Amino acid sequence: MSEKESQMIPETGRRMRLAHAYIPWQHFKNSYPPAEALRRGTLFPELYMPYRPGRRGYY
Amino acid sequence: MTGRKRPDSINLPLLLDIMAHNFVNVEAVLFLNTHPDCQEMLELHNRNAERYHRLVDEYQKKCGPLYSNYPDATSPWRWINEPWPWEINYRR
Repeated sequence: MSEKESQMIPETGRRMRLAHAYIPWQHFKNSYPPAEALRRGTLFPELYMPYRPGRRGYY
Repeated sequence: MTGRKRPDSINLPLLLDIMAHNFVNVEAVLFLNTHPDCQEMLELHNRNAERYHRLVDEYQKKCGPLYSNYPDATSPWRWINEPWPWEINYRR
């Protein structure tokens, strides 16, 4: 990546391009049993983020 | 003899179990698409898929076809007797 395209982002310690989105790498640790996964809308406990009205930053 | 008179009766607990395993398959597939070397997820995928097929098999033997390509279709043709999703009360 050239100097022009990217810049050092201090928070990450890496060169990144502006306005590009990044998603942290997910590692498989554990999973919900099938019925529980269906009810929660995800197989992964770390991705269970239900909307709770009135709680900021939790969408 | 024409069409469908009333929906077949369903086995709700078994159907919900099938839906849950189908959902786990969607999740496992999405994960494996980006983590093709994850052995643990491959094992979960295969265990889940095997169970899913056994449950579907059991359901189709007991309650009639869930899939139109059901290999053991009998006369009379029952595919149309299957209740539509909105005819099922999932919370009963």
